[in-house]
Amino acid sequence: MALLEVRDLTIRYRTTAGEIRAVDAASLDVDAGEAVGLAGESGCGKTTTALAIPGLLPVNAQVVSGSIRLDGRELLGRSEAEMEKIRWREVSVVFQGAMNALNPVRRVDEQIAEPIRLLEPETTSKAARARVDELMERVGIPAARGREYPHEFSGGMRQRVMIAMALACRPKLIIADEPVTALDVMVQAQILRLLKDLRAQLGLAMILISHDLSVIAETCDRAVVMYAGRTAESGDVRAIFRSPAHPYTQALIRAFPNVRRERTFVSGIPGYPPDLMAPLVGCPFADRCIVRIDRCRAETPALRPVGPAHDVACHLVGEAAS
Amino acid sequence: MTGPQPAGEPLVRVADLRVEFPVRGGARNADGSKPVVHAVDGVSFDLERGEVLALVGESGCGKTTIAKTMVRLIDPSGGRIEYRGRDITRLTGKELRHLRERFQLVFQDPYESLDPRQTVYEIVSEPLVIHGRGKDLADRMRLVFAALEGAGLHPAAEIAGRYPHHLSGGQRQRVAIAAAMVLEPELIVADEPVSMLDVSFRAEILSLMLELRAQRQFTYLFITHDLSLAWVIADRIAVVYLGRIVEIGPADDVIQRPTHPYTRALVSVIPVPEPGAETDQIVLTGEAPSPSAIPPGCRFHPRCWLRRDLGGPAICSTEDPRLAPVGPGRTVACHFPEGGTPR
Repeated sequence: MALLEVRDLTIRYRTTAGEIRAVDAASLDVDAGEAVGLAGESGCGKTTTALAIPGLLPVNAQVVSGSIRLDGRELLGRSEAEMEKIRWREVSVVFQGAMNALNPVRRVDEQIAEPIRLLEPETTSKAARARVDELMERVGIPAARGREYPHEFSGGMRQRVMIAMALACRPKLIIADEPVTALDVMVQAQILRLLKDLRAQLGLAMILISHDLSVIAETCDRAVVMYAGRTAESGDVRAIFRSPAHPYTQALIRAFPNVRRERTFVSGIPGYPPDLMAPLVGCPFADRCIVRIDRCRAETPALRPVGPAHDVACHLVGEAAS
Repeated sequence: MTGPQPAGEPLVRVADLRVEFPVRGGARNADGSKPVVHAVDGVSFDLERGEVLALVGESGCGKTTIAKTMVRLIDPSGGRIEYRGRDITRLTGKELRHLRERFQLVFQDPYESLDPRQTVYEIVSEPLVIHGRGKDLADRMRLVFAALEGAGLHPAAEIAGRYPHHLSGGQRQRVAIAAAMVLEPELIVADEPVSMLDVSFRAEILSLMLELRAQRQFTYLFITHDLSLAWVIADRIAVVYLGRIVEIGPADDVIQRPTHPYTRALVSVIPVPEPGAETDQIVLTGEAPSPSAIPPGCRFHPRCWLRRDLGGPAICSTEDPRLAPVGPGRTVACHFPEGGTPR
């Protein structure tokens, strides 16, 4: 049994202009200790899907249907009080933009200790102190810097603080939302290496949300490519990157330069994602797809296996495989 | 990609450019002088007409300061910038205004660089009005529509009436490019022009820039922290570290055969969309030191892995290496460019 099983999750946002179908029947599995990358362009539903797991969706979001099971227990429909027992202790989130997520007027070590203080009142302050020291050492923050404030930290160091906080109550699963997006290349490499080491040392499972496929290729075991709120393709990273089956995945991979290959100009994906307020007819990618057939305009493709642990939602792939 | 035109005199020559900023509220130095930050500390390069030169480096390395100094938004404290053989570093008044027609800047964030209260027409026609271009309103409209079409915004007449919030990020950056090219400049300085855009739009903006180069002989100074982007768009790459170019050469050469230990580290950590690709990453620890405290000798020596491998030769911490040729069109500032024997 997977540690996390998300099935047919559908989430809408209510706005003054109408309802937005942010996530539409998305599914996702994460095994214990596994790293799964969620990829796709802005607005594809990757963050909404991930934030539904710890129950951190904004108030105008509504989970319409589906199921989220962690260790076999259903999380959807639980009260806020019940979710508070799950957040930090079973699932933690490392947010994008570490500056805004930290409290500017509190010392860094106090902030790392906060989840322990709030959620484990039985832990003595001496024990909490010892754990904070250990966490800081684990994520590479010199002990003396615990007394400093977030503004005294660089972007990379702040991201280390966020990671230490996320680990404070020993969760099994970490959701990292674009953890290296705003960082410089070298700091990005440092943080990705840290996440890799932590996963190995602590047996952590991770969902890594990134618009950068290269980052997912380097850090994750499996990848899920989302488009317009739906899963376009999912599978082992080797399968996804070596033999991408969905035309969207293929186009997305071509949009990234690969310095290990010959220099070619990257290609974009002309057109725009569909309006998520309009009802979905056919395949959401049909408008931008260079290989579409008539059926793509009429019928929404279901996610189907095309290989071992490799699923694709595309009529053409189905045709080729059968 | 078409390369630069055969060169006579370069379009722009930057020689020993220096930009210093005073440190506000800082304590005086031991010798009584006021403390300064050496944001740009002796940078030299040529820009050939029609060339794309990428300046790459980490945040704080001075690449954006170089960009702003080129278009004279910041005054240099030393060195020269020559345009067609003429020193433009001290231009003022009318001459500076004229220069600003020839040099244009495109910023990183199309959400912030465009005035939300102006229509697309007003944004793109403003440079024409400021520089007194176009005979009359009809003439200016023609120029604005031509610039919008040239930037791939169709139909121009319809887009012209919209406000930035009606446009996608990719369209906004096209508007910024249209506003930059409406004066038919010679040099476009683009500071991270695609880093805020979704990947699917990035390639479109980059190919638009290259198309315009082919059609109109634009020259680009392309500022980016993303080496793989620099690799696909530029003819040459200059790697900037702590206010100084440490390596410069043909783009493919610099990425495939990086020579400076800093470049070698940067190239080794470029993420590759290829799982299990053999990675021999050189991850530097820590972050670049502050430009207010540039290390003596080679400014990279405290973080240099090669120096450690070589057992810490004294020359690295005592002597500032000069940019010296290592191959066709390539120069590197390192005492040990071959990895072993000093030169």
